Amino acid sequence: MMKTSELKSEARALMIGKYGFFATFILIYYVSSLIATAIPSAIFPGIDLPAVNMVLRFVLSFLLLVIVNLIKVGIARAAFGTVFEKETSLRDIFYAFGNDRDAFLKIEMLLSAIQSGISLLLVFFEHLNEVYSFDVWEYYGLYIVFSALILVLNLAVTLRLTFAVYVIMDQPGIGALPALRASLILTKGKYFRYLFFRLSFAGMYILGYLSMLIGFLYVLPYIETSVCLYYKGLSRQVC
Amino acid sequence: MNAQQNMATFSFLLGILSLIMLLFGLGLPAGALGLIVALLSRGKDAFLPKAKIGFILSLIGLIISLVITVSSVILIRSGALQNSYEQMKEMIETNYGGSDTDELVEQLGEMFGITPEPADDGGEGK
Repeated sequence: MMKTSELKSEARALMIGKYGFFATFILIYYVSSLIATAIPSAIFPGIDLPAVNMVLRFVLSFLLLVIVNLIKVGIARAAFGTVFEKETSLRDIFYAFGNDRDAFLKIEMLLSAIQSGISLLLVFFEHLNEVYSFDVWEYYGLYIVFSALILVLNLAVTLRLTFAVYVIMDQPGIGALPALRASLILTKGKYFRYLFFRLSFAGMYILGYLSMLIGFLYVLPYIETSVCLYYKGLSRQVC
Repeated sequence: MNAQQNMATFSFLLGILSLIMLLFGLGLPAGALGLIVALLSRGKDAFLPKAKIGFILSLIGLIISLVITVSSVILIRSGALQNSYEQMKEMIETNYGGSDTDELVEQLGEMFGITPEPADDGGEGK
């Protein structure tokens, strides 16, 4: 298994000349995320909603999140193709909708459920705001802290399951549960090493946000390829 | 190698842009993007000369932008701009006078997050 720095330099070398191709994937992902965020707020506007509408809004957000995550599988597929030297095309953005659809759907529903559960922390934050009436600076400062907390928690909880999509791409037809099990086996005893590897991209994430999200056109493909290389190293080690 | 050169040139241009954009208060995004492109242009090798210059320029642009942003926030939060605001209000009223300026002054105050002090009417309430 290569060192973290070696993996990253390998990923950088693989990605040279491919950022333009990946940018299309990321733009489609951005647009779908934007639409998925806007639709629930447009259908159920406001904060003080009746309980039924609140539940409906949450369910709708969850379903749209699943679709967005399925589109994100396309980015993983492009990274997989880059790392394993397989043919990739722009159609791969919808890879999860046409190949092993059931398996991808089950995995993304599980990951989205965890993601949605953790993002409920923002509801708690809004409750805190109502109780303590933060001023503008406190509100945005704490909002950033809570958002970062949600990102890290989400990563920490779903970490051992993240290789499942690569397992399905590696072994088509394997099914959702065996893929999740394989992901757990791959990361067994390596949780903290992998967690630190993922957290080592924090600087890139911060630069991505500072660049008004434009930097993510470069950062996301680089991270996805690095993670795929990590998977490649682990799968070779286990096999 | 050609793509690597392109990325290095792009980071170099972004580095220069981040310094120019400092004048308009937009150095932060250009600096951050310049850093990302410079860092990722390395591949397995060391920085190309242009990428190295791009990295340094972007870093300078980013740091100056961050210092300006953070110090502005601290200044506004601490209320240190209140005096400047009062001086500016006095200057505008002296030079241009009239009630039309009141709205402009209030807008400037809102922009800086400052509440104007109530005018001293000598205790003659309406």
